[in-house]
Order: sequence, then structure tokens, then C-alpha cells
Amino acid sequence: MASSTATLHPPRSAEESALIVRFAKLPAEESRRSAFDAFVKTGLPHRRVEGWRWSDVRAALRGLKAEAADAPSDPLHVLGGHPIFFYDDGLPPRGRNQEGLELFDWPDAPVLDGAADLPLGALTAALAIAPAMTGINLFLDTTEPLRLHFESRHAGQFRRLRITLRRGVTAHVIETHLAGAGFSAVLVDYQLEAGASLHRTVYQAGGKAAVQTAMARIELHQGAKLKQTSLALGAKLARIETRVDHFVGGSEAVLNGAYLVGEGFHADMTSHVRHSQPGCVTRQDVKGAARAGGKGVFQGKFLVAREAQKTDAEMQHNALLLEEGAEINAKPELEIYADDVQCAHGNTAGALDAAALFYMRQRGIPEAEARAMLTESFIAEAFTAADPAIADILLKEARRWLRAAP
Amino acid sequence: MLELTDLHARVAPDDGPGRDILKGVTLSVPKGEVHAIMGPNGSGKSTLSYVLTGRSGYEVTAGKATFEGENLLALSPEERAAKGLFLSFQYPLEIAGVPVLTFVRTALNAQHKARGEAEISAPDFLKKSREAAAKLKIDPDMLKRPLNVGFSGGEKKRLEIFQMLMLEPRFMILDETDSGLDIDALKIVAEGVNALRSPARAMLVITHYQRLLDHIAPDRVHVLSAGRIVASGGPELAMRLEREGYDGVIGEAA
Repeated sequence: MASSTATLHPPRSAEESALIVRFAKLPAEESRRSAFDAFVKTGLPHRRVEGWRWSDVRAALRGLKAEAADAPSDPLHVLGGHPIFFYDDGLPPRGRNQEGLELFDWPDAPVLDGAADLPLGALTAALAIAPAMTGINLFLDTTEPLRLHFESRHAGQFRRLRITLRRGVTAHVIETHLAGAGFSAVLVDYQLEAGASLHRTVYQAGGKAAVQTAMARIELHQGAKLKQTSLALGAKLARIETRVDHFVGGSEAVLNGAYLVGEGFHADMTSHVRHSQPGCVTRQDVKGAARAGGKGVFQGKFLVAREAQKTDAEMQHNALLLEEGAEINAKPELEIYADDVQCAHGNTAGALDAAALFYMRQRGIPEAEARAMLTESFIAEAFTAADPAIADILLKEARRWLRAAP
Repeated sequence: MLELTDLHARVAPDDGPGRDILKGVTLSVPKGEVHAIMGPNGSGKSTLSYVLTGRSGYEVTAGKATFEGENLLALSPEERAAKGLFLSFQYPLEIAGVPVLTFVRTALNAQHKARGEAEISAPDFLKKSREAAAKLKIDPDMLKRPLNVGFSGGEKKRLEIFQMLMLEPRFMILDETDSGLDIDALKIVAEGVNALRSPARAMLVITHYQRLLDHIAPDRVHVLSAGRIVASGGPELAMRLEREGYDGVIGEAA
């Protein structure tokens, strides 16, 4: 089989052809070319592709309106910190170095490994706009968060980053993915050296004319700690995909999050946690809520390799169907090859507790308010591991969503 | 104040066949009075409390229920609450993530709003809640915790009465409030309830045992059996039930 652009299977869509044209205009670095070859083999992911059954990107891009639309606002900007801005104007990121933080272009970026499992990651590496990759090295503990602000108003953008937390460094990184329109994909490779600690916050908000994916691959070295909290409000299609590898041993990961989807919105939280070595801990608590015409997707996989004895991993996904006509799709998965491990998962999707609702109404709380309060307290559990200032903001956004007229 | 006329009701669950429970209850509770409803298990006591407060899944098939002349059955649960109807639940629900005080303030302000009254100020609310907690010997820290989550049966019952003191309802239904309470807690709870007795209020005390009525003295006692009131009398009827059991009293009525 030739790996030329001519052998796209199945026959390429108009949107795929447009992406190919876009690629042709970019500098032909090796990292781009190899990633593009990988993308061409799979094309845009669609419902018959493993892991994309409920999030058909090819279909979502079909008929995506080309007109510009303002992106939703960023509720986390009030935290200040150290912002780096990425816009869909094709310009390099706007940000600056500071003590302990090194920001640099990486035109001769390394070839993307594992591209075959990550079709949109491959596309991102192929189409990343100047530069091919942005590197960020963190040498010192930061008290202020590093804020990566991705904002798209028309065509969308492809961005590839690599962030390294040096040995023992503690850092807070906030990724804000905002899109009013267009097709955007961001791939961030995080490397946590021994003893490093990353507090990662991901906030996604998009419009009905936007397709967005925020992908991260996070490699945890000896004793490294990851604490992640996400909030996805959806778009025409939005996916937050997190792939964690407990790479050396003794590392810990918390992967919490919530998605809230209303009519015409689609949010997908997908994660893959590989326990490669012994003594690693993973905790995952994802909450979702969908209104009529909203679609939520949770896919979570814990993989425990034969060497990864004493793995301690727990996955929880609980979702609320707030109205008739809401849709939640969930696939929790454990794949375990070691014998001395503790792994568990739980998964529920249902309506609010009718008895609790009646109790609140009996006290005089109107039904809509009672529903909002119960849903809010349910969602709030996903934010308890985040720093209080961040948890407050995320909860406020969740509250705003819940109180908004459907 | 509360008038029930030949009230028939059935339990109609979403996922099962319906069942007739109340088969013609006629009852009048005037202002200022405390009435007790006693009856064996399955006689319809809890159903009566849910029908009066408007829980879904309970369907009135015949008869009338009015509160101060107004048709109660046409109102939503929250409208009934705003009119002053309060149910102390037999099994209070756990409301995860909502602290007791947040819950009560939301309820109080919602009732005020529904009645066209001003919101209670934060200092007034706190003062009032401190007084109510002291009266019921509730640790103030408990009021910061999510409502009823991890509370003992007795603590939950005490919190029901706390809510009652805060909301100051005009008509109170106490559904098996004594269950889960030891004798000291029972006294405290009864004092709380008695504090709300007034010529402008009335109360329906639903209980299986006479014990609670030693502390909350009723003006009238009614015996509910198989969905009907089969005997009514003064406080002495409760004493007789205690002596002779339901079989004796109901057997005589039938």
C-alpha cells in the first residue's frame, strides 16, 4: 500500500480535500510530512472508527458554516497569571518569557509518535500554524498560573505544543479553548519529570458553528503528580481528550471533570490512562448533565500493563438526563494484565431524584430552582480537587448554564 | 382551616399498578387546634400527608381538600408551602452539596417572594437560625454541613423541626416525627413544636404510638383504618388505643 495522499479511505470528503490543500501551503518539515501521511491513512475520524462512534467529526464538519462568530468569553482570565494567546489569524503565539519559564518556537519539531491512534493529533501536527510546535519549559515553581488561551472566530486553528515540567517543579496550567466558529484542534504533550506536579485546568466553550478538540498526552515520571479538572460546555462538536501514561512508577493522577450540554451542543470527554509501571494511583470523577437535544459522551479507559502491579485506580462517571430527549453515551473500560491491582469503575445515567425534588418543593423552593440546585451540587463534586479559586469560577459557570433558560 | 371532605386517593406509581389507599376521609382542623391521626401500619397515614402536600404519584380520585377555603388540590407543592403548609417528613431526604442554612434561606426567601414579602436580611436570618438551633440543641457547625447527609435518624428529625421554626408555617403535618428519637430528643423536639402552637396555626400529628402525644397534647384524636376515619374523640381516645390496641378500637367501630 502506498502512503501517498491519493489513497485516502474511504473516499475523501470535501472537508478532507480542503485540509489537504491547506497542508500543501505549509512549510514541508519532516514532522509535518510524517504526521500528514498518518492522517491520510485514517482521514477524519467518523462513527465507524474505534473511539469516535459517538463523535463523528467528519459528519460535524460537513456543512459547517464558514461565517465568523465571536468566541465565548473566558471566565478564567480574572486569575491573571501568565497568559499566552493563540488566535486563528495564523500568527505565532503571543506571550513572553519570564523567570523560570522559557517559551520557544520549535520548527524542527520531533516526529509525532503514536500518530496512528490519534487521527486529529496527526492532523494537528501536520497543519500546526507557524511554528510547527511551541515549546514551553518550566524550571521553577510558579505561583501564578500559566494560561494558554486558544480562541477562534472564523477558520479555526491547529496548534501543537510541548510543555516540560522539570524535576520537582510545581506548576498550574490553565487551558482555555474558545471557539465561535471553525475547526480547531490543539495537541499538548506534557512531560512531568520526576517529582513534578501539574495542576491542569481545561475549560472549553464553543458555538454551534464550531468543532473543537483539545488533546493532551501527559507522561508522568517517577513520583510525578497530575491534578486535572475540566469543564466542557460543548460546541457543534467538542472533545476533550486526555491520554495519561504512568511511565516510570509511583505517580498519581486525578482526572476530574464535568460536561454540560444543551440543545444543539455536543461535548465528549475521552480519556485513556496507561499504567505502565508499578505503584501508580489514578482517580477519575466525571459528571455530566444534558438537556433536551444535547449530547454528552464519556469514554474512559484504564489500561494496566503486566508490570504495573499495585496499581490503584478508580473511575466514576455519573450523568444526569435533565429532560426528555437528552442523550448521554458512556463507555467505561478496564483492561488489566497485572494480577495484584485494585481497579474499579462505576457508571450511571439517570434523572434527578424525584423524592429529593419533592422534599425541596415542599419547603417552598420552586421546581426549576430545586432542579438547578440539585444539579449544581451534583456537578460541583467534579470540581472539589481543583484549587478553590478555580473551583469557584467553574462552579459559577456551571451555575450560569443551569440557570439559563433552556 | 383545613377541611377534607370524602377524600379518596390512590397511589399511582409510574412503573406499576395503582392502588386505592384513602377511601373517603372527612376531617376538619380548625385554627388553633392540634389534631392527631393514629392508625396501624398501612392505614393510609403517610399517603394522607403526601396527598395534602401534593407529591406526584398520589392521585385524588374523589372528594375535596380546602385550606382556608381555597382548593388545595389545584396548587403545586411549592404553592402549598408558600400558603403555609409544612410537612415534617417521616424519612427526611439527604440533599448532597447544599448546606442546611443555604437550603433554609433559599426556601424562606422563595416563600417570601411567592407571598410578595421582602427577602429576609442576612443578619436577621443568622440571628433567627442561631436562636432556633439553640432551642433544639443543634450544634451550629451542623448547619454548615449538607442537609441531612450522614446525619443520624434523630438528627434528621431535629433538622425537620429546625426548618419548621425557621419557616414558621401556619399548618404543620408531623409524619411519625417521634420515630428515631430517644426520650431526651423527643422532649426537645416536642418543645420546638409546642413553641409554634398559636391561635393562628393548626397541626396534624400523624403517629403510630401514643408516646409523642404525651408531649404534644392534641385537642382531637382520629383513628385512621383502611383509608377511613373510624373513630374520633378527645385525648382520652389515644389513651384507650394505648390500652386496648388498634384491634380493640377498630373492631368496635366496624
